[in-house]
Amino acid sequence: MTNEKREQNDQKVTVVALLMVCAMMISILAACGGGKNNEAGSSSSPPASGSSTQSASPSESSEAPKDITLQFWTISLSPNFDDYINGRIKKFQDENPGVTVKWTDLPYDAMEQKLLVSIAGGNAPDVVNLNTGMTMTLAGKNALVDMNAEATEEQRSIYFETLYNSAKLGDGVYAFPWYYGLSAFMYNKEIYEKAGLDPNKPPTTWEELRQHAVTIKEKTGKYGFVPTYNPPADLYFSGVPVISEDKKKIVINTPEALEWVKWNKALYDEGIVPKESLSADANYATDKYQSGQIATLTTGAAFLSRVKTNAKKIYDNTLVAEMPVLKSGKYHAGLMNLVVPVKSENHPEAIALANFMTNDESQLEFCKIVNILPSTKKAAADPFFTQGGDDAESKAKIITVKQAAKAQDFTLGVKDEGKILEPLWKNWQKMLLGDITPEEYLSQSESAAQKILDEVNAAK
Amino acid sequence: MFTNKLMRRQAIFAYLILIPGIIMLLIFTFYPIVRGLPLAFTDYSVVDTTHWTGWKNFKRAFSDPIFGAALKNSLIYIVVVPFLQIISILMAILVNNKLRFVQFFRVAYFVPVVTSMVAAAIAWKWVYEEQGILNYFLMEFGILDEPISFMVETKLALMGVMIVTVWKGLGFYMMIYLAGLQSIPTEMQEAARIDGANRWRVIWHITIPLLMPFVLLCSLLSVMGAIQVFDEVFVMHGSLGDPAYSTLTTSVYSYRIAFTDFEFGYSAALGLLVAIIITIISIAMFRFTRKGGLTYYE
Repeated sequence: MTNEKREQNDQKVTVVALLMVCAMMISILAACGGGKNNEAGSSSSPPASGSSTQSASPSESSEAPKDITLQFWTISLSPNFDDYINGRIKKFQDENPGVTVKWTDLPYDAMEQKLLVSIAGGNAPDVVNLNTGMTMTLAGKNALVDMNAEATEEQRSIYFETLYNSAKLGDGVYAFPWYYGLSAFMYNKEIYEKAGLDPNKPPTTWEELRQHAVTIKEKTGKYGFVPTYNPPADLYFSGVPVISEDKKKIVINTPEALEWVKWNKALYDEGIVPKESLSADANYATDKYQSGQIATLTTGAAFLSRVKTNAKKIYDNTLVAEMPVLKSGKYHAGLMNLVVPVKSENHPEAIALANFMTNDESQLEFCKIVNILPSTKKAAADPFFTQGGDDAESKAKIITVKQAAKAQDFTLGVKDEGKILEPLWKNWQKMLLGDITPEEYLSQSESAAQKILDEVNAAK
Repeated sequence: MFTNKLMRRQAIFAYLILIPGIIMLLIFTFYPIVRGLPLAFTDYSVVDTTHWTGWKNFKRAFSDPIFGAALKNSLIYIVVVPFLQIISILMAILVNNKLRFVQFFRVAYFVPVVTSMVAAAIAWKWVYEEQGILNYFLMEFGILDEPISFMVETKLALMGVMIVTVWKGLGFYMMIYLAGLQSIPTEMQEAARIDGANRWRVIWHITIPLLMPFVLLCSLLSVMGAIQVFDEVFVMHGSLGDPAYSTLTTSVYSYRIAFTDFEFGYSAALGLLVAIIITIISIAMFRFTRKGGLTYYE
């Protein structure tokens, strides 16, 4: 009892201290882009918002309506999708009288910190947009509501099973899947022609892409492509199990893995890809592509809209094809989820909002304004995804939808996934730089990851 | 009696002026430090239940190879200090002359100080890239045959960040030295010159010894800044200190432990260890030079 009390006291003390540290940290990061707080309906037309005032209506108040405010946080959707999100929120509020939704949009980098600060301050949001990595980390800390336990079968049944299970940890699933993007193969027609390659014959395998890149480098001096490495996922989609069925053994030292690692090492050593690809992300690749320094773009199709805005000439010269597939024949889907923190005070309403934002109607409407793919079965079957114009973005849409049947997110499904996979990331750089051989990469990463996994399993 | 009254009034006035600063320090520095200390002995993660773990976090720190690598990088980072100090002293002497446009130079040298570190670091990234400006010039002048990326070579990456720190800090220290130069009496320099000392001898034997208190202050500030370096590393090489931890510093590491791994307890322990190291270095610097602060050497 006294121990518990002390613990509580300690926690109070630390919460205050932490809040201050967080406040300072966030002010540092504020330079990266300011968050935006949008009251739902604030940008909708005046008569609409006027008619939806609930507390003013006497008939409703006599029925003692619930008076609930839900905090809804998203990642980087404002201001581009203000109308869409506000429209959806308004519909949800109309269907659920007495519930008000307050929408806050945050930059990607600020999400984790802000969320922690709020939870620590006893002011947790109700519905939060997280990627699968962040979801799994928080789920591992028992911070998220288990949808298998608290959501209804009806709510759960609308999603593709594979995508719904992306956030599975033990027997629980800690998120509703929202939207995801797939990579498409986008290439600069002009550079292809200059290199003497046929723009109508895009590569269908990674090996073909490598050969194209060699030719492009020889003929034009430009790089063929920038690989944006994700070693754990790349290995997984190359047919490496990564983790055993019973989640007790790390399995990455396999012949398929060695083949993939060696292939990449050669690519890097022979200077077929830029040196910076070692730590390149999609932003780097897009920057280089839109400035005409690189012939192809192998990132998410959604990045095409950035090329369109920043470099219309390159965009007009862009052709789109199916992404070469890795050995498993599957594509990596970078999934966005909606989660409900345990500390939320309104679980049923919050789950309802998360479900509403990710339902067929909401997702279909969202997909119509930006190149993303829906996680629900009915929305994905809509004819919208098979029709389209001649421009690169429409083609990218049709192509990514075609790829969607082979899409899957990658998670280990264990606690502290980020920490367990870290050796694979860090040794990857050492391997490319030649500090360790591909064989050493696999054996060292496997044993290092295994050690962390054992610790995590032991701590259970 | 009168003097006492005056002194009292002055003292009251002084305290009044000091109060706002003290309040800010109490709230934003001392309070978090005191309250943060116990964190280092827990497994606090914000969201999960907290347990008292004793010395576990510290034991872990001593056997954590990544923290070791980060600590080594942070200590290597101190190499920026002599460069920063020597160059900024020379710059201060330069802009202390009655040159034409001297005001322009002072402002120009100060511009990096007021530039946002995030923006500057992104620009420097472009300079260092394989297809960046630096490689262009090095190839153009025939120094390099093949471009190298200053961003991903493990031996060069940290040096690249250090150059950014020097570039950004020069103007700040130059200003302190300039203030120092303008506060030291000119008679001695004149006397030396009359005795036939040349320019360099005057600088070496008169100006720099007189500047010593400022050198100490600036060195201490820059040593502490170097060990705690965060922004430039974080923006240029991310929270993992790419490539392969070669640019990871203790601040970035403890930030990552706290905000991506949610291990605030361990992060606090790391912060505490670094604070102890900084304290030891600062005390050593004071001891080594016997006198510190803004007292003149007589």
